[in-house]
Amino acid sequence: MLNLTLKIFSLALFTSLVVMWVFDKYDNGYVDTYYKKIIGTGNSMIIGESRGSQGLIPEVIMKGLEYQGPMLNFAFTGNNSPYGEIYYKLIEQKLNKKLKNGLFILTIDPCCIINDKNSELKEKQLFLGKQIGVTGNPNYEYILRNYSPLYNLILSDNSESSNCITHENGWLEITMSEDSASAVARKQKRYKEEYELLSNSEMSEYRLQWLEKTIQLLKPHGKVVVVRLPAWKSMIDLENQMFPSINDEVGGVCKKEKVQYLNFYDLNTHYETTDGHHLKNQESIRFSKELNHLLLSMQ
Amino acid sequence: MVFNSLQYFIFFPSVAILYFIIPVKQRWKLLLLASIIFYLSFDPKFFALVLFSILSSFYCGLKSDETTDKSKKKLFLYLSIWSNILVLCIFKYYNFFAESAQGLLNVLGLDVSPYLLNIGFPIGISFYTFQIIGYSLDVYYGKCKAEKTLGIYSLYILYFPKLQEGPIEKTKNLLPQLRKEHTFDYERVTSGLKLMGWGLFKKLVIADRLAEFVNFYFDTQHESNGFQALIACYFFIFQLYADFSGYIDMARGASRIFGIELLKNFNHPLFSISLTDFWKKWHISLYEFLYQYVYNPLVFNKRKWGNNKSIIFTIFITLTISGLWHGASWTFVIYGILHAIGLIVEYLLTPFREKMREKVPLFISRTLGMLLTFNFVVLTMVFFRSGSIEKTWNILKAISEIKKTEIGIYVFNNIGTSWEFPLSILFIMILLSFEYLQMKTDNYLSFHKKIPLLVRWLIYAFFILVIIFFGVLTKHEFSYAQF
Amino acid sequence: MQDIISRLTPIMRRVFNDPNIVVNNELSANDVEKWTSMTNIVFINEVEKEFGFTFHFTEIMDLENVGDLLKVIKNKTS
Repeated sequence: MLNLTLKIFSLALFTSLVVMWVFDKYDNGYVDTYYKKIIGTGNSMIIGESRGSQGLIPEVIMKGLEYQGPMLNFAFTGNNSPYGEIYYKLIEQKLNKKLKNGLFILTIDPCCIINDKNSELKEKQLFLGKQIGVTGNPNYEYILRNYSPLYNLILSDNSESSNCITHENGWLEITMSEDSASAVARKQKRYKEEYELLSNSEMSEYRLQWLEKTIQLLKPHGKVVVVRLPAWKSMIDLENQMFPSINDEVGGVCKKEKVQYLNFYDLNTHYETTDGHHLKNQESIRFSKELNHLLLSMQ
Repeated sequence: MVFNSLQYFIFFPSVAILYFIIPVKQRWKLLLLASIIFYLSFDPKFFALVLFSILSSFYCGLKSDETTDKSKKKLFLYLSIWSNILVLCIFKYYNFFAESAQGLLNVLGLDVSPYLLNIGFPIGISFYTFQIIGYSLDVYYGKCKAEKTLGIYSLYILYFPKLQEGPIEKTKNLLPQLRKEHTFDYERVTSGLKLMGWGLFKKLVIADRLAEFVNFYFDTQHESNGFQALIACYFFIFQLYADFSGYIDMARGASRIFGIELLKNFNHPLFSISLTDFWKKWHISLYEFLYQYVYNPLVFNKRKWGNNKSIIFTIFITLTISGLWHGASWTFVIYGILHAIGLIVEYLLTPFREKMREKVPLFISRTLGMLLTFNFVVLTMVFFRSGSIEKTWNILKAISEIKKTEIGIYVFNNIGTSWEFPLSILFIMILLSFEYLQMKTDNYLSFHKKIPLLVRWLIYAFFILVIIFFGVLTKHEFSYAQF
Repeated sequence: MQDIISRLTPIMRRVFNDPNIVVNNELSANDVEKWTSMTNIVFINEVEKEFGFTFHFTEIMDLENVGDLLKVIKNKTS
């Protein structure tokens, strides 16, 4: 039996080495938009949804601040990472438990704290809901779960599109065609989608509770700031109309946990978006600078 | 905890290693504990139900053995069988019966809305219920003594390699083996490992790959493309076979490691030369159960009707039960009935077929038989997979109206954009080649002993790497697990 | 027993359409191509007719091979 066990062990070791070698080669190329966030590391973090993922640039925010870097943009999308137990557990894994003076920016918009009226938590069925580990580089689990059959790793010409770049710090830089016809069409489309989404959703006590728990998790490790990013005015008006209590609800949680709630909502007219939700690249830099100045003044 | 999950990948080796470490006499207890854990990993709320099935049949078996009074024996037999059939009917067939009754009453002008259950059913219930029926009948007829140790009997029902998808074990095969003391044997354990490996290959590389095409077609609204329909229907038979036989190989391989040989459930059915031949080679344990406990007694009972009448009647009943066993839906019943009709026609045409065989070379008659049988099975499987009569009709209609442009569209969409279609064809060819080789040679693997050890183990490594890199590793439930 | 065998042989050759069948104890359905679940009941009927008795189900349900059948026939005709 020992003989067989040794043989099986050797076989397992050999095949694992081959697989790891292939993954390592692949990892030097590109996996997908989210992979760099999954394997990324950082002391400070940006948490939340796609407005945060695209609108907040770590190095710009951290400039001159006394908080411990580097900062990782660990925000995904409203569908994948609304506040809840799944996202909480992944943040907990990513968190440097020894950290004392990190900076944690939690972004808010309705999609983070609402839920479909008639269905289960949608993130359970999506990739973050199935992902167990978010540490480790390469992240074999992520690749195995999302990219089987794996022969594609060897055969595919995996390169990042120049229009959609995820930086090492997790910032997702998307460049879109800015001719006015496309821009208008995109905004109209997104507006319609947002209307449908918000009509079929309700404020989720579950998500507000997990927002609170997330804040409680991060507070001992540094400063927590909750931010509502600016967006297209019509989109904002729609959100206000469908969920008038959102600021009060979030504000209430922040007050209870004694963290600041920075609502840039009302300054929306100063920032241009690509599609009504997400800041344009230059606007992301500008906004990150504004947030940085604000944080500097608060130090 | 399905066989191709990470949990099983940890569970099984742990159980196997422990098995050979603990004292020989205690090993069956470890298997029982492992089987309970395995069962609870699915849906713990049904554990009380399977416990009821175990206790009721165990108790009735003991009581039946204790008495010589035939009527008392019959009472315990009926108690055991009918209580378990009742459980099966409630959990699996209640909604089907209720909705069918509703349909019938609606046709008669009565508007009723029956209360429907939404509770699911215990894993493996169709399999172990039949096993319990077989056991109860064997005890009644004196073919075996009732098992006196509750633990052994529980293991007989819950034994985890066969729990989810069979085989439907026979009392005389499995029960004695559970009592035996099994020691480590290098040849036997490596044989089991190889069988598990082959099963995993069939499941991950073949079945789950084909499932992408099949599910995409059957589960979305694509009935109108006839060529796509044709591909999906043919892929389905290979998917189902690779999936089901892959599971069975993993079950038998795992069990062989423990020293317990489970029944063979397939005997290269894809090469069957007639429908009668097919039913001896596909899902053998179900066929043998139905043959022994339904067909044989019934045809014997009705033999005074005359050969043809009794045979036709019995085939019809047996295959309808077979269809219904597969699922609580009219498409499964139709599947069974179609096979009944096929078998009956084949039987009635026996003189004609024998005359033709005398005139035609053997190779031609066998090939023709194989093609006819295979295509008939593919056709009936459309009912099996589609889930609705209307959908089946649409699919068959689309196939009958295939247009050349559809072939072009399909080729454009599937070949050149991805490797999956050519790989699917390649792996089907590999499957058929291996099946053919296994069929023609008794122990084709014996050649491997002539290859040097290092080369042999490199081949195993290559095989494992093929599974890792070509396997569809995202979870796909085994097809027969729904039964 | 020889008498039984000599009466059984033509029946088997006729029902299973195989003139080469040689009756021995080990012979079973696995050895005869046309001995199927369907022809089996035809065979049983013919045996009953030839030997003039009726089987009870429990007598035939366990038969594994012709040897077992010969024993049952012997019991019933003696």
